[in-house]
Amino acid sequence: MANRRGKHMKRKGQMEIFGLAIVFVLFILALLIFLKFSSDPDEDTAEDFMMKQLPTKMLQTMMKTTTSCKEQEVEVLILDVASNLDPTPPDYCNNIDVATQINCGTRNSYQELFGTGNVIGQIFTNSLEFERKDYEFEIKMKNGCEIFARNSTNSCFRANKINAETFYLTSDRGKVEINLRICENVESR
Amino acid sequence: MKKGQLHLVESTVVIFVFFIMIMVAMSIYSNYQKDKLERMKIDLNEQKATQIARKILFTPELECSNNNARTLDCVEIQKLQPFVDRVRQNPAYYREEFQNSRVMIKWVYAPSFFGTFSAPEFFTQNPGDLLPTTTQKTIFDFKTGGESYRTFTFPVSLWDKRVVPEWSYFGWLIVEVNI
Repeated sequence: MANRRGKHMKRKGQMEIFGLAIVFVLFILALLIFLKFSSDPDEDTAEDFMMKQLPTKMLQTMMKTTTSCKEQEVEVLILDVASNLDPTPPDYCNNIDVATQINCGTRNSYQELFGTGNVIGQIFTNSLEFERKDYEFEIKMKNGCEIFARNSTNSCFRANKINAETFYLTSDRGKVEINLRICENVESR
Repeated sequence: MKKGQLHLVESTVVIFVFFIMIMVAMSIYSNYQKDKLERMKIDLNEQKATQIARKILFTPELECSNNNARTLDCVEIQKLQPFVDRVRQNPAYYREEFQNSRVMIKWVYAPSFFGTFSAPEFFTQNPGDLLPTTTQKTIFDFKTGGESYRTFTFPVSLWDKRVVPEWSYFGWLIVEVNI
């Protein structure tokens, strides 16, 4: 009789401990859920804000930069290149009329902007690439062919955040679209 | 074991488990609060850095203006050296203004210089140098050594008013702030 009561008490004790364990687990779960939902929603930090502004500021500063080509600004040279190309098939931006472009002495405006030791290359190499920021830069005719493209080694292929800006210029051959995408890649975080 | 003793043991176990639960909850909550504080601290430092960068870009000692119209994100090169000298003469005032930070200007791109028209003196070692010899120069350094810091960069136009219309070089403003 005493033995049976002892077994009964032991089982009851085990059940109580088991109940306590369940309460314990539920308590931790409830706490975790509370913390998850009570946390503030993700707000833009000052760094996010700066990153959002970076493409705009980059393009603005770049467009106003004076080049060695007759002291013309980058914006003027881009317009000159766009005004002297044929955006229609079969040329698709490949045929640029060199003779009518601004003559910068030994080179023309296309070579000044995109050739060896060029303006665009130097700007990106010494700024975004030096800071190891990934980017994609493209100049093209609106809804048309590509005039120039450049990107960092990683480009924006695996980016989890992209900040972009598009500038439009009006050339003799139509609107020119200048895109800059600065991205934060998964690996670089 | 008597029934009374059994109750006592049971109560002790319950209190013990309850105590452990409170300890676990407190440790989780304190970790959460610590993380939150850390995030707030980082955000505050980022805000501080942006404020310092804005102060630099809007400081009348450096701003670019044409016919009283201010150009945004622009620094006048000829004003840089006088500003550096001014900061050296009044470090207390500028330290209060710019706190524990270091601000540098980097020369990213400029057109070719020729003849007697050489690179601005601020970026050359000798006054007669044709090309910029120093591509990065510190404007002021109030950063306290040994501590960790964060770096923020901003593209800026560097105006050279020696010619009309003025030349605009591509520059990079680097702000380092102690965390």
